[in-house]
Amino acid sequence: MARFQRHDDAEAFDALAEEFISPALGVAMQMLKDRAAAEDAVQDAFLRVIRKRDQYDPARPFAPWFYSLLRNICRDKLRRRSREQTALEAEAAERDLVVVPDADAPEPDFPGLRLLDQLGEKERAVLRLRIVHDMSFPDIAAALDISHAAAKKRGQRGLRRLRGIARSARVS
Amino acid sequence: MNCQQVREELELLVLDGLEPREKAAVRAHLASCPSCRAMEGEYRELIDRVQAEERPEEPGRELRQSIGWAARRELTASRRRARLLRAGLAAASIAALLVLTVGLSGLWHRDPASDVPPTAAAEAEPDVERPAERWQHAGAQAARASSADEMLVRCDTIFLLRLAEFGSNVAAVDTATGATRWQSGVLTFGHLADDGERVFCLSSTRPRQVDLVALDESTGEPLWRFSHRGIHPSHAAAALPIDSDRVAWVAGDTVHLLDAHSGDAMWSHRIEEGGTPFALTANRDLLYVFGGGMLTALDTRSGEEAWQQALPVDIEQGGRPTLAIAGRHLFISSERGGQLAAFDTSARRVLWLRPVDGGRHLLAHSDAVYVRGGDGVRAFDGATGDPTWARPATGCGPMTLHHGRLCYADTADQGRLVAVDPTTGVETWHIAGVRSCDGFIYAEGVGYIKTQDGVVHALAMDLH
Repeated sequence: MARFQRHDDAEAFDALAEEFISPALGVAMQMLKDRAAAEDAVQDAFLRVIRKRDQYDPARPFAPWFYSLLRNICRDKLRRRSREQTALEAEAAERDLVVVPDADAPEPDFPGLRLLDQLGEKERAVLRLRIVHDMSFPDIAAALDISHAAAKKRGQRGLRRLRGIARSARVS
Repeated sequence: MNCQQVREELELLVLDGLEPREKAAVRAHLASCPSCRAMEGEYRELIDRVQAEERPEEPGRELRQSIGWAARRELTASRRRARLLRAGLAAASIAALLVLTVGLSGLWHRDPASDVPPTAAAEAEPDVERPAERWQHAGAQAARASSADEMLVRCDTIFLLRLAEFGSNVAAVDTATGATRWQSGVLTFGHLADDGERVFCLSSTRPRQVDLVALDESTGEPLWRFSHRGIHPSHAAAALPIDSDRVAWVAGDTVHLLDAHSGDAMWSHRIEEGGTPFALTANRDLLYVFGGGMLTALDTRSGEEAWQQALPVDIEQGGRPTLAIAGRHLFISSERGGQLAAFDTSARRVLWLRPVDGGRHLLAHSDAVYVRGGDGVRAFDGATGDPTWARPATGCGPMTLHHGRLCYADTADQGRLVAVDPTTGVETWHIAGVRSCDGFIYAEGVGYIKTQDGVVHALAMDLH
């Protein structure tokens, strides 16, 4: 990031994007539960990196700064989605219509099919980012806006719980 | 550390969340404690299982590209702003014009180093003599497993995607010399099509919007742009010119028929069944659209639905559907789908269904259909569905038919360009050393193939 910031080097930006694009998509999916919206959010986040590059402090790690941008974008999208849904429902109520789910809305997962699906949202989010996206705990903490200790605690609790689930499945 | 203390830390050990000193202490205990080691093994197995069950969100090529383009646009804009500031207010307008002109001309001039001069022939080939190369043209875009970067040959011009400073542009290359005739300034992610007067490509200038752009074939000047909002680039496919006046385009779940001269919509028809993406093909006066499990025929003049038929098999489970038509027979498969369906458009019924190992590319001709997917090329009788032959073939490129030969590139080992008899599947010739994910094109004594390194080769050969 420092190289990109100093020289406006497009290749340095490409390298940065390559490193962060997949975990960023994972984080955005966790928040938005919708692939297309998550891709939009990731694209917007990288754009903000460029526009706000002068505000980045090169003495600090890039990941927390980047994930805070991404989180804000995802939150905006969630707020907008919620407003649109409320407006749609209000209009439907006025006209006595039935609100049909948005075709673009995320499809529900099939619960219970996979190991991580058997965990609560918070623990699942941490373990998914750690195990599947190989993100470090500090990066996970930044991405989920929780403390480093909380990220570790959730990961630890989640894995312990998975062990219990796996053991009881073996017994039964 | 005792067992109790170690077990409090084991989850973090396997998740690599311990500080080096803590990690060393836990490891020291594990070295001498089989019981704690067994527990550690259980945790590691769990992690392996999660890794086997879950896949990371892989960004698609379009997302990577659009981020790259957006970055370059933004950097260019900010450089311009900086230059303007430096130039001072008085000279700002003049300076801006100059900077803009220089910047833009960079887009329109080809990079002299990128066109490789013609070479006589051929790396040494062990088995088969490689035809003489008339020329090579480097710098074309070539991405594995993408259907968006194909090239087209129309009369004396090849249209292809070229990497540019700000992304990719359409370029026109002279078939006689390999020199670039023009390179459009329009940023595009490919999906080229042409109707003899215009070349069409897709572009995405803002999130959740895809544009169909028409370029003048002789100059590369943009003629018009038709936007469809609310979709991701992967939910749009190449335009389908119906004739020199009309072009069809499917974007999301909507089929548009556009005036090819103005880009105005003559009609738009939304397929209600949902489920994207859709595939499109045309025959005489009907447009056939497949998506959401339904095959729909639309009247090209009015956009009205002529008929609609559900297919008794879930083709789309295997990804983007693919369509091919020959006469009244319409064939449907999907990229990774397990089924090939033949549909009689006159009788409006499914003729047959055959299991296939993926159907990334279909080619229908006369009374046969050829499927490329999985690990081979397979031929079926179009009317009966009887398999006629199958050949192993590695890779992803489309098949083409030229002078009674079915041609495709096989990327196994060093790669080969293969031509087979379409009736028997017997190989008639091959050229070794060609690794390509594109279709082979033959015209007027020259074969054109783009290899995976982005070089277009013009090979002197006589297929008659």
